[in-house]
Amino acid sequence: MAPDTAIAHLERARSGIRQALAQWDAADLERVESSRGLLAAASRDLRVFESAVRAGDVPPTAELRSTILAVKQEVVQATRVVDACVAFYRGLAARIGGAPPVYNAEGHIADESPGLEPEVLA
Amino acid sequence: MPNILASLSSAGNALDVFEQALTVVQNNVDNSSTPGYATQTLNLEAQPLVTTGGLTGGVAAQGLQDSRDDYAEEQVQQQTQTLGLYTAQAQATGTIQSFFDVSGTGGVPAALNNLLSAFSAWSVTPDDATAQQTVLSSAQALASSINGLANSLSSTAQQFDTQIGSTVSQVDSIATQIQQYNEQVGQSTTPDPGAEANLYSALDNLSQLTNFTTVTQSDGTVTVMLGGGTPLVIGDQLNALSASDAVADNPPATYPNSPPSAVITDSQGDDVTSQITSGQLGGLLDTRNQVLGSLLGNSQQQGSLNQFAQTLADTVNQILESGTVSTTAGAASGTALFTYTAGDPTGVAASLALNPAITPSQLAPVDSSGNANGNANQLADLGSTGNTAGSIGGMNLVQFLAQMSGTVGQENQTATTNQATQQQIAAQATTLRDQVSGVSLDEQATDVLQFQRAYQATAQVLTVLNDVLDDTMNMMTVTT
Repeated sequence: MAPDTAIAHLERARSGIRQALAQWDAADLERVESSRGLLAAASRDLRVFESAVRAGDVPPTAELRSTILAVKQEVVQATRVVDACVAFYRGLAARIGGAPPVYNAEGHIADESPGLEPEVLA
Repeated sequence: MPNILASLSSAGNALDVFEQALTVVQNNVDNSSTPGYATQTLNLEAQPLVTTGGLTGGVAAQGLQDSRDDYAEEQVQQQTQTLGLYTAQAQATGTIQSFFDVSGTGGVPAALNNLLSAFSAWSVTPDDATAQQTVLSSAQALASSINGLANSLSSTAQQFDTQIGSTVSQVDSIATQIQQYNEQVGQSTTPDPGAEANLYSALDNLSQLTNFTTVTQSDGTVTVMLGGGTPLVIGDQLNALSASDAVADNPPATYPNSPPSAVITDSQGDDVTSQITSGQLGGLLDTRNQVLGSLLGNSQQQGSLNQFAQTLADTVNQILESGTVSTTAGAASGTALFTYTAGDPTGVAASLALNPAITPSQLAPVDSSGNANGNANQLADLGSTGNTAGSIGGMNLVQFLAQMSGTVGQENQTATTNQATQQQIAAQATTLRDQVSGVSLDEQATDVLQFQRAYQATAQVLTVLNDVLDDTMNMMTVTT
């Protein structure tokens, strides 16, 4: 893959992550799902970029490393925002007496991987 | 006839109840922007209807119910406390960072570079009076620059102390409002939405300032406790806080003459500083005691600025005093270039000065082996990579200085990033609170599960993103 093409995937992933965070509305299920869709698409783009790096198609540069670190920072920010929602609703669910969710070793709710495309999980 | 009168009476009562309900609605509208106000609902209860027994039915008011959800309120308070912490840290570390020149073109880094350059020029012409004078004037400028930085940081510590004092006064003022609410609740038999709005508004304000938890007692009063469990308000009792400065003695002070730290005590005089870990006060205390303490020193550490100043002075003095002013037999030994107040390791940066007794001709370029410019070369090399003379923790003086300002910059960057993220999280907590308040969660259990799954799925995608980025970054590291 040409380096420019691979880097375009990285840039598109970054744009998707930013868009997902910008439109995130914890109280609106449609927008939560839409954000998740954008993040899943970003994940696919990142996997393409990762494959290109693995194949040695993308020459490592300080600028590229800096971009990846910036994307990572944005993902960390998004994770904190979403984790706050998970924690809020976990507490809420416990409060209304629902059966507590069972988590697997990866920290996900067991027996469900809702709406995750196989290629994202791959 | 009695039945007709009873029916008329019942209808009249119902009109009264509906009037009350309308009043409640009107009150909700009037208070839609009142801080802390929660929408009220008048509970209505159908009255028994027995047509043959004289019971004419109708409706009765059964008191007010508010839409507040305690769990959601607590979440908002916690997120607001964290936002207060990061906001104060970002502002306070920003102030400290402004004293450090990261470009190296000004402040202490530039003054150090000038001195090293002066040593370098002197090593080429050790007997040149101009080169000798340049060393002295550069040393004077570096000492002044370090003094200036120490003084600026000390002044900042005083400014933070003032802000901490003012924040503590605000905490006490809000605690007094809560105490008054408790007194009012103790005297009242029915819930007062207005007073409750004031209480929650006060708690919202308090959460910007400090971390705390609340417990509503069976008599309706609210107990407010600091993070570590020390009560701030219990019923009508107020445990007011106060701020002061002190050199901590527990554990025993390693540096008893160090600059004092900010201390918060309760009305019994107990130190509760460590219990305040969040809110604006937590952020100010952290920056004042930890960040500034790491630079200026405190009871347990010398402080990196003092460490730098002392190592600089000791290393330069030791090199110069080990040599002689010329290669001539019997030439005078070298004289120390710097002085500082002995016996106070945490005051070195503030007291560092050019040795008032030294003259240009007393500089000693000759090392102990008799090399004509051996000492001058050693001094010029103090900033070189791999140089071990004057090293602190494996870093030479230039590297240590760069790390010091880098650490401050990193503190500020982290706090600023945290603040930006926390703003979104705090706003989100408010949105979620509004979403669940006034809703029967039992009836909405399906929705709760749906949201929970949607969040969890999003979190899972983010985990994948994180992993892919880590893998990619690792590959970039290996190949560079």
